[in-house]
Amino acid sequence: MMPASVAVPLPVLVPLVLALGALLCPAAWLRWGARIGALACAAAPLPGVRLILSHGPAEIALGGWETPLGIRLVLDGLSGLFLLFHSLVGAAVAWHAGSIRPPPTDTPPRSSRPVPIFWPLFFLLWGGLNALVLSQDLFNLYVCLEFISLAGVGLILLSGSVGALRAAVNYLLLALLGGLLYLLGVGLLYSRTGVLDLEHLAAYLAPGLMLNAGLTFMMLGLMIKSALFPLHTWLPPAHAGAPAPVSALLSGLVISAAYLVVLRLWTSGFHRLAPEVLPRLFSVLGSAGIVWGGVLALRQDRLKRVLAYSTVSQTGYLFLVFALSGAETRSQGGVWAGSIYLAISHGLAKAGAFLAAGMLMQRCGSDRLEDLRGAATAHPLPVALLGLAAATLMGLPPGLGFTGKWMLLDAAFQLEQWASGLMILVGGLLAAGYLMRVIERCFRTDPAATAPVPPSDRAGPMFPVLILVLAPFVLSWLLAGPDNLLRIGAPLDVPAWPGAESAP
Amino acid sequence: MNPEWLLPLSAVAPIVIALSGWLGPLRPALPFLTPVGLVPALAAAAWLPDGAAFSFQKGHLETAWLLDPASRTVLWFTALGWLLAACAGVGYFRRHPRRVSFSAVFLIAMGGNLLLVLAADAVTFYTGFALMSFASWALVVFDANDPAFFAGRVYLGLVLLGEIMVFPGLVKGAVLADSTLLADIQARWGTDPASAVAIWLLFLGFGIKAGMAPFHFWLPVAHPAAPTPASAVLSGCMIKAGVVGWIRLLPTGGPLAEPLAVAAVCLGAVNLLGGGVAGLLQTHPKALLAYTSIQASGTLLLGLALTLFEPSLRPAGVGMMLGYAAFHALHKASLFLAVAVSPGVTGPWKRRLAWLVLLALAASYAGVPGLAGDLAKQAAKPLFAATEPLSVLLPYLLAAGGFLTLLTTARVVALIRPGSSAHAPHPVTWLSWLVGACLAVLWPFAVQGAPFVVTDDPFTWAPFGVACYLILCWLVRRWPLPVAMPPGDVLHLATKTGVRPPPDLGLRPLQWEAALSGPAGAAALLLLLLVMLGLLSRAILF
Repeated sequence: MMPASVAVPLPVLVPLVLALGALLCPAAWLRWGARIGALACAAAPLPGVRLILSHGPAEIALGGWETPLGIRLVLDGLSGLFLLFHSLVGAAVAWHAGSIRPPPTDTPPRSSRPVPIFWPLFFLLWGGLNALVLSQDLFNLYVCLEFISLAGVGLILLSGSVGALRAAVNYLLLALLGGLLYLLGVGLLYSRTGVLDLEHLAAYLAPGLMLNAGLTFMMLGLMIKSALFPLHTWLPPAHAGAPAPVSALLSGLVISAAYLVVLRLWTSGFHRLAPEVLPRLFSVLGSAGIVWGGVLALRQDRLKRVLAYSTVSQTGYLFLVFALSGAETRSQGGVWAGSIYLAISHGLAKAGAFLAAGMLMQRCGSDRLEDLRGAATAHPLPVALLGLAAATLMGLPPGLGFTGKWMLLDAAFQLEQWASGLMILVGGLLAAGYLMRVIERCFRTDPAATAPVPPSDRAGPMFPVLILVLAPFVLSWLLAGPDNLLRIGAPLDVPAWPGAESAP
Repeated sequence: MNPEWLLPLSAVAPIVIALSGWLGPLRPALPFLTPVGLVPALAAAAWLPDGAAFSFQKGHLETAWLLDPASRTVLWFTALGWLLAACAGVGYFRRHPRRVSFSAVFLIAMGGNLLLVLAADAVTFYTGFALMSFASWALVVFDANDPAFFAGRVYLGLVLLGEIMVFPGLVKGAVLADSTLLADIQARWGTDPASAVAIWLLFLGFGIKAGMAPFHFWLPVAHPAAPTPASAVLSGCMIKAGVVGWIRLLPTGGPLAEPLAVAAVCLGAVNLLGGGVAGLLQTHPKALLAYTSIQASGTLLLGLALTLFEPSLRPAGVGMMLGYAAFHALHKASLFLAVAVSPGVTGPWKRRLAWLVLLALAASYAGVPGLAGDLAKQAAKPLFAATEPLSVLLPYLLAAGGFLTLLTTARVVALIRPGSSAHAPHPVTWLSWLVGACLAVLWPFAVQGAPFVVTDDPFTWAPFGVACYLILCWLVRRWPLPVAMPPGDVLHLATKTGVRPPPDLGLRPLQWEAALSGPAGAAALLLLLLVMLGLLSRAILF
């Protein structure tokens, strides 16, 4: 078995090395090289996960510097689960994008010059995401968040259109603002406590003006990054304007990574600072986001914008969990596990949906809903893939999305939080509304009845998309695995809300 | 190999056939493979012993399957109804360019329906319920014209409403029972307000599927829009899913059952009488048949009320409901197939045969003495007479409903009389209709089981009854329709009186969103910052 000193940083090192390699690699080798590299990246977390399954949580101090001076990377159940999630989505997206010739842009062929920068940015993003889930240090988390945002901006720009440029700049500015707010919060905390490591910090966390202000700034920054209503407005243009594989990564992985940081902070002691206020605020904003994202998704006339607003709506669910954390659920991770399963199922299904949308877009000429008429007969497979992803997003059984929703609803009923329960149902209803609206359009016949566009090589293969959209259904059978994984290191072992324990 | 494997196989086989046919080399043969998907279900119904159970637990996937006498009855009529429609579909879609897609969706809906019939736990049940409901949407819109998409929207809207009623009801039940088994949920309902809400949600949610007023209007909109084999299963088999839900999940007694029973009686009366009157004013045979299904749901609701009022009569009452559901499923599936076959029949002998079958089917459904419908009715009478609050009103109600059924079936005969159309049916469709009609009319005599036992000999009245019925049919055919009612009564009433079902928000949300991404967004951020700072410091200071 690989020692922890190798196994833990491996998921970060492999993508970073590959990013460098992709920059230096001759363009002719890149298509296959990148796909094989993506498989290597996907395999990188496996030794670490094997290690923690047999030996419990593993950690290393980077460069041999112990905390509080140095930086720790910690591989516990939660990070292990997210690493595997990143592997699945990353590998599928890479395999799909690598088969698109020329490299992914959504614009018509006239501007589709080869864009070799895609692969370096892709691996940078992947490495940043993996580093984020392994970090246990406030400043390190900040670096990873900025890393991810910058790689994301670069990827959005690949689209090459003016709209995408505007969206990317907008995204850049807001991501920077979010990062700075977070950094300001970290500064306030550090000035008070003098430590950045989450484990050490936990001992100092007691309500106090400085600490609470720090928490506020950090949470605001993270709310921008995870697109919580009303700070979500950067998301739809950015995710809808990017090339489809990039949208899949941004909507599927980046949003849930920012959410993971919120969860990580909350469960490692920050709940003591604001035991009741913040969960309530999150519930209100999450509920508003569910409704607002859903209503706007219903009013879009482009498929990718529908999916982007759906991300806003689905992010709202994740923030409901903070007020539900007191409930006893039958799953090991408690109600937190429910929100993690929702995040993961959303990531898988949304990535699949964006890839399917990209395929439809290439075949129908655009992603306008009007142009999707007749797609169900002309291109049944992409429509079926979109339908399967839609089933997960709506929370239909027996998918992982259904399991997560059931767990949250179960908790809401136990705590008699009827409003949260209602919002979970309303969100599902809205999701069904906007997704079935798209699917209905695909079933309609085309009045112009133009000859079907021949499926082009640019559309990419079905198989990785199929894996993504089927994964939530398969995972709900194998959930004993994730359940056991989530228990390792008890990353989510926090007292019930509102039972705030006294400050140490 | 364990024979219990037949239980999950019954539901999984159609889905596997659908996927392998759609994606794989079996593609051209898929329409012919549709009936094959029912083989495991029919084998399970015929050979598995009572109490055969199957359970599987891995991760969060806990699934339990059970074949008890009740689910066996439901399995029989569900599988036979789907079989008839599948066979008829082979002929109906013989030259249709999209027949493979139809078969695939049809098989998936079939799998969902069989899944919910055999399920013993809430998650499996709900999976089947959702699978069936959503796959059927594709059946409803299959013709891809404007009426079909309108019907699809109405259908989907009510499906979604039903889903968000059933889902929280099931979760609440599972929380209370600390188990997801349907039997546990049914046995452990509390008496608190939350349980009451959950029970009502389940009652209404399943009522939507069963065509209960005031949620009945999707039936007469969706059935005419769907291709006929799909209408046959929608009306014959799928609306029984709601009945299965009622029987499996509603409490078997206690203080919460009483108001539910009162509601069931009232809504049952509305269904029985309203469905009959509205049905008489229809001009489309499939819309009319949909209204007769609404009437049948009224009868089933009265049966439900009986089991809720008198827990001691529950076994007999459930037997009666299931017997009636079986009777209705086979008759209604055959009557819908008659719409596809009967008008196009050519040739003197064939036409005579079609007349005979159609009249026999209609008379049997109408409850002419001595025929199947009458047997079902006779079996129900003593039960209703034995239940205290129901025995006063019900004889009149049932008599009125029966009279309306006589009229509506006579009107069905008038609307689909043989030889009225030039579109000749395919021989396979013909044959399946014939077999279905024989099955429907003769099955109750073959069973001689609990729901169809009759005390006195009804056959003495049979010739007289049939003669009267023929005269009635002739009269109804001559009788002009006073006024036609559009299918989906309430729906049209709502749109006529200016109530627009979808609230039109116009472009306002888009404008607000645009504002939110400008200065208003910055203001929101600042406001949020102040609110959070204020709230958090308040938490410290006070």
